[in-house]
Amino acid sequence: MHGIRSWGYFVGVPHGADHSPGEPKRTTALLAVHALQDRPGVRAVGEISLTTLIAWEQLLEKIASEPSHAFFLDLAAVSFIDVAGASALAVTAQNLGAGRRIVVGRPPFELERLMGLFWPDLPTIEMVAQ
Amino acid sequence: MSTVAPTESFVHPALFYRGHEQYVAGTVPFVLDGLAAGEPVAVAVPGPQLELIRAELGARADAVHFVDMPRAGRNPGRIIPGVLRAFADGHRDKRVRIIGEPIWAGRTSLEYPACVQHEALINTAFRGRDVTILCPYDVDRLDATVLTDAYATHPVVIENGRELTSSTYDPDHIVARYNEPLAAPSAGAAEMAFTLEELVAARHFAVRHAQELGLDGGTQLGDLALVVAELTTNSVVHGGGSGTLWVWGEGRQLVCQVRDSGTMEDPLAGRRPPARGQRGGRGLLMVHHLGDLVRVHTSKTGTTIRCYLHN
Repeated sequence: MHGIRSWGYFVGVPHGADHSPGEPKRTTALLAVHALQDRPGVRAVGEISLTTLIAWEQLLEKIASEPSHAFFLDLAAVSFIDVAGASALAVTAQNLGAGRRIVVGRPPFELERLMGLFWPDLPTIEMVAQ
Repeated sequence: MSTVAPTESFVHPALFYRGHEQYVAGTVPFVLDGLAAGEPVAVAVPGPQLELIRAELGARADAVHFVDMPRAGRNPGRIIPGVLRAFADGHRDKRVRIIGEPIWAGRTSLEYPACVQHEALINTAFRGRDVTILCPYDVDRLDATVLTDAYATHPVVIENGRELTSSTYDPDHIVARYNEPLAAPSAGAAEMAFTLEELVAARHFAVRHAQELGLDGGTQLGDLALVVAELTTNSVVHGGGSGTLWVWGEGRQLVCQVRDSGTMEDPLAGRRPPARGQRGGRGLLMVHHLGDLVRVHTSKTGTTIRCYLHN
């Protein structure tokens, strides 16, 4: 079991409600997380950058405490991940218990680029196209 | 036999050479002495010089780690983490020997300040390490200023087989001297002010203008997004909370620049490879890895970082 209900949440505060007339509407990054129904894993939606980093790290902490051997992290709907977000994922993966790994589905360009740059041979992260 | 005798922990001589014969005479014995002593040896120099050393070593070249410096060290800001420490840190149990030639005749005036600051910062980066880094300088083809600066960035200079202690060694002065204000962005540069609320918009702004300049996707746009995200986020977190972003094209290169009101106190920022399991510390390092050139000007009133990306 993988705590389906507890995974669903939404973080980041959309700006714009307090902006003055004529001022460009401000937007900030958002990150939503939904549990997968068919296997241990989550689907992240949005982007991983400064304003969503804490939520991303909280998600990674939960993933680290999951009992499943392979946890699926679907990033198909993540439009961007910065170097801090990629670092948090890589460090989490390095500290997983024996035999465990994170399977990253459809990683954004930046994640593949950064993994190749800084962690080219990290066996506890598996990146898959589907 | 090499004239370089390690009397201190970190040894950083410059080798002034004229022509192939002096190049081989100054480098090959240095390599052979290292191999004879059981030291790991790396040679990171431009292609023609690399082939000279390789040919002279013959079968013994198999024991040497060769690096194409114009490729790996195109951006001088990534030579310390990506070339020198990448090799030295892999052999922490013994003294390591490296030939590093970061300044060659084709380096431009735009690149040179970053090159010479890199040479100066090697001394800080490797203080206390059991490492020897020999830096060849082509006396016939480099400007007199470059050679004068080499005396300031290297405690020892080898010329005509003689080892001379530099009386003008002062790497901190070189770092400060070449902390030069950058020329204004091109007239047509796109400009945008940002705070925390505009971080996402700033990244999209940069990518959109890069597309208008003719970039049509792939690695360059992705790299630009990563670099702009890092530099703007850095301004918000460490540089006073806001900044200004510029994007423009320069020849075949795409340029992005961020200015904020912070001061960069640590000249080695972005040049220390973090431990594999360390969460932070990769932001500026990434910018150095992705950029062809990174120029920085920092003062009490603000910091400007400009990154040139290959187009």
